[in-house]
Amino acid sequence: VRKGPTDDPELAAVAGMVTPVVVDIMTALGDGDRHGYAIMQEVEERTNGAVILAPGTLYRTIKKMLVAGLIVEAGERPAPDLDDERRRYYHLTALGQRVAQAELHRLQRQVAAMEKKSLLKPLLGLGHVLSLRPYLWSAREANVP
Amino acid sequence: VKLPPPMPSIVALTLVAYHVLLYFYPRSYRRAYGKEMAANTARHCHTAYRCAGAFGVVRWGVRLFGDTLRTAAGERVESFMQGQGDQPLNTHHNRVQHALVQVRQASLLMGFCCLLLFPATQLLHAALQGNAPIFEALTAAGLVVVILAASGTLVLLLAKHVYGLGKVLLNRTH
Repeated sequence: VRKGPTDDPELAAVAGMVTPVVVDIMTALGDGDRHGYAIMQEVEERTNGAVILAPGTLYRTIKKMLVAGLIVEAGERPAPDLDDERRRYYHLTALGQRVAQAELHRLQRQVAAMEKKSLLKPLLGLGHVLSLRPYLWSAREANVP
Repeated sequence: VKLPPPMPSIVALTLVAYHVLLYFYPRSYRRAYGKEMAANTARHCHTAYRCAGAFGVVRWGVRLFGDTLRTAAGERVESFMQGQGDQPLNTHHNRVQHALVQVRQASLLMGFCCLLLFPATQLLHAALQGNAPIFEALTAAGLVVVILAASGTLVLLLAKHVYGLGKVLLNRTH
């Protein structure tokens, strides 16, 4: 979506605001409604602690996404005894899902272009060697040539 | 009745400091998200304390401080450009009133920074017996903040008088 030409006017309207934090939040909301702290936890766990969203960044981005219509406050809440009333749950809208898909396609095109220019070959080669290592070890133990 | 375990003092101190830091955000933003942000911070502080002790809380506190200053500055600028939610900037009266509120809040914030920065630099300066040039520079920065806060207040007073005069003149012409 980012600064790319698009035929969809709705996507073009939000093209400038798709930052890595927005993508992280959309990914976190991809499998269901979550509140702010759950989004923070999901992003931290998914990235193995490499990305930790501080509250200021998180809620500022949520505010922008609400204004742009990428997310809405969810109407349904858990049972009151399981819930904290201060929390607000957020839901990815249809527009948000389309923006996420467009961003995914952009990233796929980016990866394809990098592969075409041989930028990913060394990494992929190393990944293949590392992923084959357990099989190589087990073959050596079994005396397989 | 089983009482909850006492909160570690480092966590309590961080949470009090964060509640103060929340005042850097515009009022409308604070009303909308302040409680949730404070609750999330409290949970994260407790988790950091459980995982890494006081060092974890300090590390998270430093991160919070930077994040709050950065995002609050952005929100202030946006609030200034767009106007408050309950008062759209569609008339000159609203625009001038909004600008005055922002100037007043900016000068208050600068005064608050000054209150924090100035004694801290003086203490560090005294602790190192005045040998480190960096603390001389920080003291100078503190003085600059004092001057800016004072000039901000002066601008506010002048603007109020000019605005009051302009309002009277406008009423006369209408």
